[in-house]
Amino acid sequence: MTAIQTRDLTKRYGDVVALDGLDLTVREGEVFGFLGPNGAGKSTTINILLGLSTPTDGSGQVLGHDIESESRAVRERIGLLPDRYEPYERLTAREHLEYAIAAKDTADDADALLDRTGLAPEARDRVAGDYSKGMRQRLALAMALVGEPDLLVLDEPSSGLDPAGIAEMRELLREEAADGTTVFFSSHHLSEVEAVCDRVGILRAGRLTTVDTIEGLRERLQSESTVTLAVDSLPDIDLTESPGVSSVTPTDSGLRVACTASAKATVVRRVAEATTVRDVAIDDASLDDLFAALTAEADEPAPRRSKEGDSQRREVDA
Amino acid sequence: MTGDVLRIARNDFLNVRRSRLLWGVVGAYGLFVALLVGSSATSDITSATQLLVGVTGVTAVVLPVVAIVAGYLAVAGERESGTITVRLGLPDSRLAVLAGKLLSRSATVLLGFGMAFGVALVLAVGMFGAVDPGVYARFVAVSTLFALTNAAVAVGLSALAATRARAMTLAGGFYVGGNVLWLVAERYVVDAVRSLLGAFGVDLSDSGAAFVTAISPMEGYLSAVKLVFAPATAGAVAWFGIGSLVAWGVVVPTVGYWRFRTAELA
Repeated sequence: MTAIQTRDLTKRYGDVVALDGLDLTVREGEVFGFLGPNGAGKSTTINILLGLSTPTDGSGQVLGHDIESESRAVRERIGLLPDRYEPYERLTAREHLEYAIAAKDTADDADALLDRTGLAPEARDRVAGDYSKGMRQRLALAMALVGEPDLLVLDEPSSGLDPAGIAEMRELLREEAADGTTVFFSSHHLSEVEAVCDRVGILRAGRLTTVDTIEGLRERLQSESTVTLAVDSLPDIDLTESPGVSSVTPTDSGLRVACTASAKATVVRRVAEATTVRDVAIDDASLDDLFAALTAEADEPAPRRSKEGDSQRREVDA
Repeated sequence: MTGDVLRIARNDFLNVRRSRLLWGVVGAYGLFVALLVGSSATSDITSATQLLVGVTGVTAVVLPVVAIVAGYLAVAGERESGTITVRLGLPDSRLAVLAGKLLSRSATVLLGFGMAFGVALVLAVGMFGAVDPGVYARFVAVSTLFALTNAAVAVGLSALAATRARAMTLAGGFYVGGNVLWLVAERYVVDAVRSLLGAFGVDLSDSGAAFVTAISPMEGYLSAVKLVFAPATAGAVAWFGIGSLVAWGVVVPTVGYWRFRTAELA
């Protein structure tokens, strides 16, 4: 069974298309990173999965239950960390958890959950209105863990956490995943998801542009290196004939060559044979660069969806 | 379902109970009553029953404010702050959430006015030595119904609103239109109904006009209050006032649920 399956999921607000024919499959037991810049439609997707928002078109299932007609059954089995979330400011962390535990009718221990998410014991009986953003996040995460959910849906879980907190959260996600829990979490930082995710889906302007493993994304990177050479005089050679070179651009002090990783050495050697090389800089695109490229045109209006509607494996056009 | 509603109500009540604003407003009502009792305007009052008659006027104007404040952010406040995503991320239905809210805000109002009416009883006994238990009990019952109506309407309107500002507009509109402005405009409404019925050859009598007037919650209360002080002569209009209060308290939350059931919450 798949943990999350959507078909042609679409959400329009008037003329604005927030989600444009999303076909998403998240397998049971995997850690899936849902990436995209702010406004790409990540929270919209999560809100629709949770039944907080109704899709304009399309359908979806979570853990085998229809998201519209069986929303309560869906929510029985998932743990949610919402994005735009505030705790009840006049209730304590313990009261929040006792409420969630009763709602899910489980025998969880509030303190054990708060121990796991790292909310200090002395803060647990203070009202949540006094909490910092990080403490609120730890409280919300503890509520999401109530009832050992089969699926954790976390919307920007690291927001408000310091680097140590982010590391702890990653560790917690790994533990949950090791227990067989499916984890679906959104982020706008690729670096955040690469450490824990089995697969990544990249959302841009309401459309899923890429779904791949972290290794798959890295492989794509192999074709994207930039060699910048400072030279005495421009060499009289045609580098574009070399295998793996995609472009050569003259700069003020020399050349910039875009090529595959394996072509780098040849490029440098050929230029050195033709002229004196003063400096060499090699820039292998990072995952963040790739992500930036994949999401670069997020501000553009979403293009009309094709009739086939299968955007899942569509190649990157950026 | 019942268990869910009670749990949601308990949780909400815990949160509301710690609200300073609410108790400030309840305190203001108590202050109005105390001022009225202590002022020279009531120096000719010679019995506890007369005192309660005087309190009725203040109650009709101030009590809805307290009840509306207790209810108007019940749903809209959660939608604006985003706590609603936590509440409905859990496996509860929207009906259970709204019913729990109605229950907890009603309980809040009962607690607040329970204290205020208790103070009024102590004052009345202190000043006049004794209080007619029947009159007092009926006064508390009718006034409590009036309070619950306003709280239920406020919660119902709250379910229609996505933001605090909108909830405030709706609640304020209800108070001004349904309570205050009605006192001024009721005769125009009566005139309009009279002309309309006249067109069909039906004559609206003065007693018929009283029914039209009692459609608003505040006039409904003022009509129903006749059951408190002169139950023998109160007549059908007083019972119609009771019916009007119940109808407002049922219809508005129903409409609120109808919209909230499919509302976009995020």
